[in-house]
Amino acid sequence: MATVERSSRGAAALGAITERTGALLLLPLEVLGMTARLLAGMAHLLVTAPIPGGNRYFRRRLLARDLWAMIFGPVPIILPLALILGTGLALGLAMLTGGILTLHGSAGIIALVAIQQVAPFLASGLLAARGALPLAVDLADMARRRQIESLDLLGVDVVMMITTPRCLALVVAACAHAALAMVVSAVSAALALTVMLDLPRSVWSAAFQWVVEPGMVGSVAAQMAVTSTMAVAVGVVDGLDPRHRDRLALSGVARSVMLKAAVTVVIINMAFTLWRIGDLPVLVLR
Amino acid sequence: MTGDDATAALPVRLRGVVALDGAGRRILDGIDASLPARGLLLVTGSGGAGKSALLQALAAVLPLRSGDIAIGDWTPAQAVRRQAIAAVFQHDALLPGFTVFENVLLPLLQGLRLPRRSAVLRAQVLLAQFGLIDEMHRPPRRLSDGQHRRALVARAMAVQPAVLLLDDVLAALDDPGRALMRRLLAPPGGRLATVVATATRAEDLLDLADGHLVLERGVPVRTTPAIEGRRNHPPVDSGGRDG
Repeated sequence: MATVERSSRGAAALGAITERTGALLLLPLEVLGMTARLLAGMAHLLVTAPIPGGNRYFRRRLLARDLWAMIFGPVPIILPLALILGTGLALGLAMLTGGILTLHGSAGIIALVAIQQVAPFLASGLLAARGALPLAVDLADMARRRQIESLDLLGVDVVMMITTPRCLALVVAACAHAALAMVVSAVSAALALTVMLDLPRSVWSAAFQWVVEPGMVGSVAAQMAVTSTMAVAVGVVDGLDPRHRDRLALSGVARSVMLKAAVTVVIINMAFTLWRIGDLPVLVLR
Repeated sequence: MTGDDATAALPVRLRGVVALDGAGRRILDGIDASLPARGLLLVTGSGGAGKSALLQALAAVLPLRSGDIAIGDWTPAQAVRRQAIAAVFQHDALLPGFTVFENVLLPLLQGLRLPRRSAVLRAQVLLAQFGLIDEMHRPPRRLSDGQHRRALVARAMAVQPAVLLLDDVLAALDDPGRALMRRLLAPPGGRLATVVATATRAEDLLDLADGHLVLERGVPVRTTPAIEGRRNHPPVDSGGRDG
């Protein structure tokens, strides 16, 4: 009960702010507050739950299900998108520079496309669509049915039980997707530059040196972890919003979550890009 | 509440209970009633009469505007914290990602924190009592509505609550399911908890009830002992308007 009461009170207070500022406006306070609560709840469930076997059994089941759905589900979307974006962006950038790039300049384009553009772009949409949206709809439907309360009465913290594995799965899936998108877009960019602009094959090795540079990969992974957690937090905020309890409109929840999560992810992507601006590959001109 | 011990049933008392909905309308208006431990209070009324709201108030889900509810010596919130209350709400559902057996097991492992072997045994016994032993490894989507409702009541009863709140649980049941549920709610052997049950049709549970509260737009219009001859427990007292 405590979780529901806390969530309801928090969501009610935040809901009042939303009413004043517009329901679709991104609320950094709302997202940050919910992220802090989410992380605290997850830590409690993961670390301090004293049940040998019981919680782990259910978490494993949920985590396995969420991991499967979130890692493999979006792959058919990621592959063609990464391919198209990698090729398109590489060719576009190469054309704009008028074919005066050196080997290192071309490698820089590939790294730029793969790391700076494709992975965050894909993650933005996919995190919102695969992570926050279904979570919010599930929670909103459960809130409408009073399922959350009835399980809470039985001592089951269903919000955290559903949210924790979803968030963990999303972090893992986002990192895996980012890595996949980076590799696919790097390969497609390199292929496009090699075949269409007749660049030497040595550009490949130079590009992959950029792509697998540990600092960049690490910062992309960190970005994915933060954005995943925040996208889930957006889903929880909207799923538990008490304004939706009496006359729930799932389509309204879906629209709101999609927009808020996407805006949250884009803002975080931009912040990370600005933070890493010094690491951006420098285009060396011939 | 830990281990295998059942929580002793607790008396329930409502005094001048008033609650509002989100729009500020009175959905419960001056409810007074008292029910002894292991009694059954039947709440009836048409749709929107406040039956579900009354159960939500008892489960501390719906805050009170005024009045008070006592469950034994506890407020509803205190009783909830002690896991003394279990409920099956009107549109409640099993968790879809788990089998029926796992749904019943979940509160035993997470809520009561029973050792796994005891929890499994208790879940199996309950599912057998509710006639669901053949369906225990099915996902909820493969149950009929009646089986789904029975599984929900089994899950609620699994934690052996002091107070059991049942919102229209007989509605989706077929005749055998209804008979089974009546047997489980019948005193003295079947009923281990104090039960507050709502029903659209009074005759479903009237003969088992120790009291009958009829609501109309949140107002108690009639409060009577269900069977005049059965006075093992004190009848329901009401300060509401008798019809």
